[in-house]
Amino acid sequence: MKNCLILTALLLLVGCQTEGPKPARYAPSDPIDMTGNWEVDYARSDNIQRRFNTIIRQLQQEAERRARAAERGQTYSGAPMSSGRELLALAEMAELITAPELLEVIQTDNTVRVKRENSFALICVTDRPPPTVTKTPFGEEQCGWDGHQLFFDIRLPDGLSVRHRLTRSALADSLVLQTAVYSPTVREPFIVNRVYSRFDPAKAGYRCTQTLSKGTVCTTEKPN
Amino acid sequence: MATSPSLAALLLILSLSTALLGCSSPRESTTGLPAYSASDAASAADWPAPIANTALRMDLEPLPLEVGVVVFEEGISNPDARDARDKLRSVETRLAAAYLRDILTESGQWGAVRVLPGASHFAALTLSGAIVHSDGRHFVVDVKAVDATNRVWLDARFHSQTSAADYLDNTTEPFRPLFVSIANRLREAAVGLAPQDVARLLGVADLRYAQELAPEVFSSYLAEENGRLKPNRLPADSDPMMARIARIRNQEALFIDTVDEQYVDLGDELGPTYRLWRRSSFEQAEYLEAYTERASGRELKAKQGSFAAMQQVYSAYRSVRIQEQDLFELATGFDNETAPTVLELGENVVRLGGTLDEQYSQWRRILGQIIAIEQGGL
Repeated sequence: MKNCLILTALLLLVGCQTEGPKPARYAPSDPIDMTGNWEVDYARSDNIQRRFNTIIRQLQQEAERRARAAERGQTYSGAPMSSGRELLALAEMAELITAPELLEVIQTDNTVRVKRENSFALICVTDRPPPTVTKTPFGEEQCGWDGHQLFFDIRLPDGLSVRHRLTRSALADSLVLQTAVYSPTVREPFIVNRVYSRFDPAKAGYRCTQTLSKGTVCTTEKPN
Repeated sequence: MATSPSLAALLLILSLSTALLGCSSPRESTTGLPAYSASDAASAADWPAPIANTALRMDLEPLPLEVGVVVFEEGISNPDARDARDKLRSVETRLAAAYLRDILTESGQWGAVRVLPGASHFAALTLSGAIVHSDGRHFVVDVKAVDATNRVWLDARFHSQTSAADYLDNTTEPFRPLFVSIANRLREAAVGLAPQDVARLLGVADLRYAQELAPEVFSSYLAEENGRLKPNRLPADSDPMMARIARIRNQEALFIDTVDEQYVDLGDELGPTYRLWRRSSFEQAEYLEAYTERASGRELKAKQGSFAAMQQVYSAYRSVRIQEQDLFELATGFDNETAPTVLELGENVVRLGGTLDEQYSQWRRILGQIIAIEQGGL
């Protein structure tokens, strides 16, 4: 019976990891203008490898604490540890999701469209109280203004969740896109902050768009 | 510390209850995939069996009846123009009507077949329809065909299902059997129609068309009996009024043909992307089904939490969203919908604006005014 209890307690702890981001309460909407073209500033953005190393170090420290507790015959009350392999998988996913280097934000009174290079646009209808929900057979997206931050929560099958939060600097010269990736097998989300600086796409002399039928199409024509 | 068996059992039950209640996923599907709503399942139960592949009937005596195919209804209760799928549906209504027109023309069983931007009695036989469901794998439409006398020729729901083979060839419409079936059923409904019946129908169609444009002038020519329209009195063939109606009708045909070119443009411009979208939708639906099956049988190869499993899930979602958004932008950018139509009317040039439906209404108002003026001048 004792073994059964321990097993149940373990099930309880492991089972509770699959929650993903918790339902949020949103601050009163305070939209700010994020319109424009933005390119990633690597100097000010998180380095995923460094972040991964930090988490691995934290895991090692925790493992040592557990080992010391076990040696002393004490029960360690912390949640179960994630494996290094699963953490690495989550870091790789975070890298994949945060790969877009260019953003184009088009904003109206009722819609914000965040176009991301080589990925799908994050689109939010903002004329209703958050969250605005979009459902597809492959996942569900919730979005809206949370104070002056624009959020997108994407819940996908198998417990994978992605939470994006977009914040503009007071000087309106940079955007921070915080991306948290949740996996049911890892205790904490893997969080990446990408800082984007404003840029003028016309200076490059050409502009490209992603199309379904022709792939990436570039033109030297100036936009209307 | 010793634990009594009953207390241990209670703890076990409590723990399990907490685990089940407190940690349950907000999603309903046991596979972790968002479940289809009950209304989806209910609506699928209303679909007839998929149509088998049939040949287009071209063997009967052609009928000299003009056919109007009204742009289909969207079949969405509250369409949101900002929603990609709703926007897409509005494009589909036009593409489906245009394709049905093509099939009816290909059959060679009818007179001129035209797509009408809105309901009208322009043609002796009018087809209208609504898209019930469309996802690349299933296409379900309600179609109704009514002639100028109010006789219902066809009122049915059609369902076609594709397989992977239907998407191998980029030139063939994957749901062609559905449109062929509509064309065949329509033609079969006219079997047994005597030449004098056709002549009577054409006479009523002319009067009804005139009545629709100028009801105050032509209301006395037709009477309703048991829901069917019959001519009260028929004008003589040499009646100058009928010549005027024919002229006005030709003017409307001119408008419809001008508009028709815009539907051809729509098909040329959006057709390939629409086809890609449908093929992707088909593949995704197949994938989703296979995934659900494998998940329920615990046959998924990639371990949950592994990079391969997460990448698979994320890529499927990313792919769906990119396709939806790409098509949405194309549909939004289809400026022909609101391009002004310029037409010559006698010595005047008329410029119509707004959507095709609005332009059509404007044009018909002008024609009605002309009829009323000419008739009053008699």
